[in-house]
Amino acid sequence: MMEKFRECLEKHQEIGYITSLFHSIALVSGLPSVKWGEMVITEAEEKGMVYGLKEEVAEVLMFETKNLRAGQRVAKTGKPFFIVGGSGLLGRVVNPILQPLDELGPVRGEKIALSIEREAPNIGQRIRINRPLETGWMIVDLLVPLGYGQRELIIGDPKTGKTVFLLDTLVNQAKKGVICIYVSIGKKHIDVKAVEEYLKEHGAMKNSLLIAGLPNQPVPLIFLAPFSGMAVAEYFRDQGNDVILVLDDMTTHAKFYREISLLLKRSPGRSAYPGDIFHIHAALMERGGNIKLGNREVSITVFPVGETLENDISGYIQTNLIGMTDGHLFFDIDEFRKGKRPAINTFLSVSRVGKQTRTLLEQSLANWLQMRLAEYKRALEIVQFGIELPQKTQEIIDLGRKIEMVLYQLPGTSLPKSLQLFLVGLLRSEVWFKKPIGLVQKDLEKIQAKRKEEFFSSWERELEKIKSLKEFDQWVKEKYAYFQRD
Amino acid sequence: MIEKLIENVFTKEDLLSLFSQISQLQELAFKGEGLLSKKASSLKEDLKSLYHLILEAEEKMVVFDDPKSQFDFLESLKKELSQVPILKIQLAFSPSLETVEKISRFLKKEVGRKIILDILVNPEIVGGAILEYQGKYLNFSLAKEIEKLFQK
Repeated sequence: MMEKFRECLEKHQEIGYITSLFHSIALVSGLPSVKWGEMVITEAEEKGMVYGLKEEVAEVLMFETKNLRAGQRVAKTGKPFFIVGGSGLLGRVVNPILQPLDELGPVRGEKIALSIEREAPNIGQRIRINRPLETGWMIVDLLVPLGYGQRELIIGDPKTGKTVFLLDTLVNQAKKGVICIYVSIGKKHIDVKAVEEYLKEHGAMKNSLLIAGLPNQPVPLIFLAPFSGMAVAEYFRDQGNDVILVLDDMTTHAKFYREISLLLKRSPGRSAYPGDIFHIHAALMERGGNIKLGNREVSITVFPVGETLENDISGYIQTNLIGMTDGHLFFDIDEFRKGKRPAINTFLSVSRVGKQTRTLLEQSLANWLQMRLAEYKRALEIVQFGIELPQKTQEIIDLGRKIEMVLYQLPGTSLPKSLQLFLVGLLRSEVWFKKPIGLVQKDLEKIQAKRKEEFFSSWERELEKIKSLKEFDQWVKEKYAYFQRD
Repeated sequence: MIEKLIENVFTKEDLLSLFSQISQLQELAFKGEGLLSKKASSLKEDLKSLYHLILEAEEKMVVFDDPKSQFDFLESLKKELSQVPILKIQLAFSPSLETVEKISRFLKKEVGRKIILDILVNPEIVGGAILEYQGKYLNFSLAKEIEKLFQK
C-alpha cells in the first residue's frame, strides 16, 4: 500500500520535475497524464496531491516537505490521494496524514486506504434525523436540541467556551460508545495537548481520536485536516458506529485555503477568499448525516466551529457556514462578559433538525422554558427604567433568575436528560416557585451532586411512560420528595 | 528558421552554448552602429551557422540596422531554441562524439525532427539506456533486467 517512487516510475513510465517551489506548493513539469486529485511522490519519497493543472505544469500540494527541493524528480501513483488508517487510530493524536504526534509509537492494527474526496451519501441512503444527541448541557439539550447526523455550527468569539462545550459533548458521547474525532485546524500545540489531557482525564480518549493540523506543519497539511477527519469518520461510520466530528475551526481553515489559492495565483473573490470556498466547505459538510447501513442507522454528526469578532456573525465565511449547516449555537461574548455559563444565546441559536428528535413532553417543557425566558428578558428591559414593579413582573423576574441559575453550568458538569427534565419540572412546581432563590440554590446543589448516580437511567424509562404534563408534575413531586429525605 | 542553426547541435551543452552566444550578441546589439552581421563577425568558428543565419535574415529584410529590431530578432531565436525538444538519456558509459552524432541522426530520421540529447552518465544502470522525453520515462537498462532476473 505504501507507494514507492521507483516502483511508481517503472509502473507508469512517466516522470516530472519540480520546476519551482513556494512554501509547500510545488509546480511540476512533465507527468503528461497526471489527473486532478492524484497522489504524486517525489524521489525523496514525499507525497503530495495534484491540486491544479495548467498547460505546462501541475500544481501540487506537498504534505511532506522535509527533503523537498526544486529540481527533484516526481512520479505519479495513478491513484487519488489517500491516507492510511484503521481502528488503531482510536486513543491517538495524529497529523492529517495520520502519522502519530503522540509518543505512543506507530499506529497499530489494520491499515485501510481512506480517500479524502469521497462522494456524499445520496438521498436514497439518507434517513431523517430522529435520535437525540445529548450534550449534557441543559441549555442546549432543552432549548436547542441536537440529533445524531446533524451538522451544527458552533459559532462565537474566541474564548467564549466553544471548545469546552464541544469537549464536554465528546466526553458525554464517548462514554456511550460514540466515536469522537476532534480535528484541530491551525491551533497551537499547547491547545491540542490541553484537549488531549481533558479527554484523557474524563476517560473519553479510548473512543476518541485527535487529528491536529499544527501551525508548524506545511500549510497544505493544515488544509487537509478536515478532509482527513471526515475520511476517518466515514471509515468508522461504515464499520457501523455513530461518529461525532468536530472541526475546530473552519474560519481558520478558510484562511489557510485563501493562502494556498493566492500562492497558486487563483483569482481572489470577496475578502480575497477564492471563489470555491463555499463549495469546498459545503461539499465537506454534505458528507455528514444520518444514513442507513444494512438494518442499522449510523451517522456522522459534524460540529464545525466558526470564529467571530465581537459577535459579528455577518462575515463572509461565518454566513457561508451558517448557510450550509442545520443550525448554529451562538456563543455570545456579551453574555460571557456578564458571567453567563455557558454563554449560549438561545434567542440567536437555531437547530433546524434537532427539534424533531424530542418527545412531546420535552417539546412542551422546552416551550414553557422558552416562554418564561422571553418574558424574563422583556421584564428586565422594564427594570432598567427603575420604576416600581407590579407583583406579576416581580414574579417573572424571580422565576427568570431561578431559570438562569438552573441553566448555569460549568465545564465537566454534564447532566443526564432525565435530571434536566426534573429540574425544569421543579421550576414549574409550586415548591420552587415559592422558595427564595437562596434556598433554591441549596436544593440545586444537593440535586446536582447526585448527577453521576445510576438511578437516572431508570428515571429515563419512567419518563418515557409519561404522557401529559399533569402526570409529569406529579412525577416531579415524588422525586423531589426523595431528595428531601436525604 | 532554426533548423540550419541547430544542424550541428547535438547535446544540451551545445544548445546552452549557442544560447549564451545569442545572449552576448543581444548585448552587442545596443553597442555601436551598423548591421548585426558586422557585430556578429567576432563569433567563434564553430558558431558560424548563427552568422550565416543573421546574414540570411538581413537579406530577407527580417532584421535591420536598428538595435531594437536586432535585439527582437535574437530574442525570437532564443524563444524558438527553447522549444526544441530534449531527450534525456542515461547511459552507463560516456559516449564518443561519433556515437552522439549517430544517435542524434537516428532520432531525426525516426522522429522526423531534430531532438537534442541531454546525456547523463550513470554506471549504476550497467548497460542499455533510460530515456525521458516530455514526461515519458522508459527504462531499457540492463540493471532493470538483472533485477527482474533476481526477483524470479
